[in-house]
Amino acid sequence: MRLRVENLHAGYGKIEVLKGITLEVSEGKITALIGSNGAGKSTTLMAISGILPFREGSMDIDGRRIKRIRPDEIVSSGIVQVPEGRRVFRGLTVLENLQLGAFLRQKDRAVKEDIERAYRLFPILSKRRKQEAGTLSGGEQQMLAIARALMARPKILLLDEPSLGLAPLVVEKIFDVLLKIQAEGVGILLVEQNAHWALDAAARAYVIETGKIALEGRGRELLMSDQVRSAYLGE
Amino acid sequence: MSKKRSASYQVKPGFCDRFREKWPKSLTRQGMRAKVPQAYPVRYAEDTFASITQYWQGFRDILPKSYCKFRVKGKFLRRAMVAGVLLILFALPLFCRNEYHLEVLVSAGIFAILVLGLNVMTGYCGLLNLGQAAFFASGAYTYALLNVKLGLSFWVSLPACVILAGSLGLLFGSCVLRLKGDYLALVTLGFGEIVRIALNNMDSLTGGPNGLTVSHPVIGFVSKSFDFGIKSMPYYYLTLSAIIVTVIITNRLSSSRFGRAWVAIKEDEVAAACMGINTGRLKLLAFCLGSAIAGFAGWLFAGKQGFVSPDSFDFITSIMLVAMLVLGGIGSIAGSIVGAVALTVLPEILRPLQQYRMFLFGAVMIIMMLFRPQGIFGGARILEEFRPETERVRQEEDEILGEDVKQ
Repeated sequence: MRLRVENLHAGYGKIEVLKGITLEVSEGKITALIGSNGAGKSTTLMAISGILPFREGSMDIDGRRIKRIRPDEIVSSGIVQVPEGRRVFRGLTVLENLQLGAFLRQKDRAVKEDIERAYRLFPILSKRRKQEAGTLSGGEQQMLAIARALMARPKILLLDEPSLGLAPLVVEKIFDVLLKIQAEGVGILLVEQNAHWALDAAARAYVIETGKIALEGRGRELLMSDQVRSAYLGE
Repeated sequence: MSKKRSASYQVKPGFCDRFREKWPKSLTRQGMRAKVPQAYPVRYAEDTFASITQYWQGFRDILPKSYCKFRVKGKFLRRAMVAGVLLILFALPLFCRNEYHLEVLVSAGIFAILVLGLNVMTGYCGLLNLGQAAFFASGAYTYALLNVKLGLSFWVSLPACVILAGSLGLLFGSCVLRLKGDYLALVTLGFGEIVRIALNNMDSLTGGPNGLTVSHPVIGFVSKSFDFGIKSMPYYYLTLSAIIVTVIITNRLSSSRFGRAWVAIKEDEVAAACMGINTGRLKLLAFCLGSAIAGFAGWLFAGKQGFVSPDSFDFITSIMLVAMLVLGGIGSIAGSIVGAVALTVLPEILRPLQQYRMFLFGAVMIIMMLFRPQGIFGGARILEEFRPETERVRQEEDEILGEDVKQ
């Protein structure tokens, strides 16, 4: 599966946040999107997810051109977002959260298997399956958020700052799982503050500045460029 | 755990702070000071309130935890309890021959159905509806008009009442459900008033303030028929059966995948949309079902009263319904029923106090909100949010999780 976003403009109210974003994500590869605060990283993901409408531009999913699409149609076409700040359903149990992830494929027999798979991926969730998600630790909630998104069997996963506010060791664990997910053939569009790791793992990377793509290239190449090093890696 | 709780008496973020966050800036102490440099009365009042709630929190911490959880565990025990309660309710009229007592119970039952409907919208899906009386009225007036104008019987007009109220909810909901929270509440409040005023002014159709007199339900057998008449006993059983039907429906709904999706929407609409839940359609479904249940209650109400007039569907009714839901516990079926019964029976018990009874009624509500903000049957989850320990426990857990990875 290939997702291509062309000349995306989007924003909130009178403010135009994205002023022409063009990027491409493909199955089985990590694509990184880095940039400073307020550059429009999360807005890009929200627009791709169909939660924020495109003001201009279009999306291209496997050669199908799309201008306007509902969030549930995006999910059923195989693109699922893990929103920033985890946003698990705090009052529901871990199991219920996972079941909700599979909302659109409720009649699918394989849902049960996928729940087991999620527990294998994150063993800690299996211990907490009857616990309310709001009582989980931050790291566990992030794991749940990723597991919940995987329940929809995405071909492309949009991840918004999975390391936000987590202990370094937990972050490491989550990144390990991301590599595992990628190895299984899922494409990942990763928005990350931890630019070093993101660029290192990414096949392709984009640097976004005030709503526009400022730089793009292979992850490792960007990691070497002076511009990125001084602006985002603090070197 | 209990040791930890009883030890902490310092200022905690309690619900005082929660409300303060939601107030507009100009209403907070800092905002007041900025406007009026010496707003001492405000400061004094706030400090007093803060110290009362603080004192109460210290008190609540030393209470046994069982007090916070009011849930019967175990399937068998639950079923046995439901069966016991049903048995008592069915046998009640055999012992209670007092017409007035039964009458109060019947109206409590009708309110219970209304609150169960409200629970679907507000409790499950988080759509605060301050105009539930409008849907109640639409059910009642549908039966009244079908009966008066077309001569249809009570039983035959049931589907029409439910469907009409439900489609009114669908129509109204499709216009206003893009609004959220307080804005939605205000619009529904307006809608409730519009319906009442319209009924009041459409003289030719609804009889205006004089209302409509409708016939009581009749059960016809081959040779003889049984008229429900004005005695309370038959209505008691009719209402009880109606409640049971409503409970079964709403219970099935809450455990369905829609029920789960509703809770997800209530908790976080954006996250729910990210999961592929069509939030607009599901909110509309909750609104439509809630109003259809209100229509069902309206049908019952009209048949029991034998008379409908706009007075029965005023703003206070809507507010009382929300109060019943909050008192009983938002999102809980048992809570909805208990809340409705409590707030119908309580003013009757307090009747000897005459005009002061509403005073006491208010006091009871305030005490309730101080001691059990989550309502009688509400889950312990809301309490959990008040506890600062939760955050600490989370951090500790994260550290442990980190160590797990290291090994």
